[in-house]
Amino acid sequence: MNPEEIRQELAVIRNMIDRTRKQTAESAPLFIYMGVASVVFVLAVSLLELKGLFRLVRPVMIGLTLINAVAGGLIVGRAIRRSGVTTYSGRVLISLWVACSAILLLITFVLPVLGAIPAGAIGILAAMIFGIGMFMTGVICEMPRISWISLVWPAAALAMAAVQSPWRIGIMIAAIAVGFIMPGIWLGGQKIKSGADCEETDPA
Amino acid sequence: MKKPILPELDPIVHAPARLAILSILISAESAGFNYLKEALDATDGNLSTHLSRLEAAGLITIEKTFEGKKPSTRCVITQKGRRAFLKHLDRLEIFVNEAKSAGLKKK
Repeated sequence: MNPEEIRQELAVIRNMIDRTRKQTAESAPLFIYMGVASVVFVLAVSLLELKGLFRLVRPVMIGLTLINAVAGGLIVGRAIRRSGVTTYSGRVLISLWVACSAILLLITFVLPVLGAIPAGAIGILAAMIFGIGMFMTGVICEMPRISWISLVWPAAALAMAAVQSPWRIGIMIAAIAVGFIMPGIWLGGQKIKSGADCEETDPA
Repeated sequence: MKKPILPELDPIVHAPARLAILSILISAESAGFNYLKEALDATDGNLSTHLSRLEAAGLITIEKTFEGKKPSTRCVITQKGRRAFLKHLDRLEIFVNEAKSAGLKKK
């Protein structure tokens, strides 16, 4: 085996491992969906509060959460099935967001009922959880710009703490657009054109 | 001067296409047929042959399922495959070291 052959073998190994490592595209639809679902959630709840329909707020929150959980699960499942490759980083990413979602459920439905946090703090705490999640997403996907953009979440949390209700809605929606949907589009753009979108032609 | 004894390379792992398949599978939980086909720039038949050889050697497992009416083939590296790949890297390292020391001696 000559040095040139060794060099070529090492190049093949490096290229293939690198290519697989960068495959985080399967998580892109999840972020875009979570962003859109969060905007719908915030708008629906805020609209009910503005109209004075307070008794409907909790059932609508629970209903939307259930719908979002089922739809989110279906989207992630479909993305994983269609993805050409399942990576360890993809699994870590999904686990991270499952953990964040569980904490968000506690913050939204359990802690306010127990009187542990005031209802007005839900959005602020949710923004901080989103910030942690997006920061770690940037680290896992090796996309520093996602980690940097995650700073929008603590900034939004501080801004929401400083203003009153109608403004909070606007801040939250802006933070969702910048802090969720944009990174989702970036992740989708990073997608290496793979067999995921092709018809399976396996003759075996 | 005595010529150094260099290790034999496993012909199953050493082939470029199969080495590329194992490189992908070692860094992923599983990979689909189409993903591998595009990564390797291989034809269906060519890739099937390489996958069959790796499977026959016990280095990978191939799972065939149907998603609706579409066939889906996913490949997963086995423990034996992992060991064979790492052993191949060790052998490459020996070759690299040997090439380096030969280069130094020439100088």
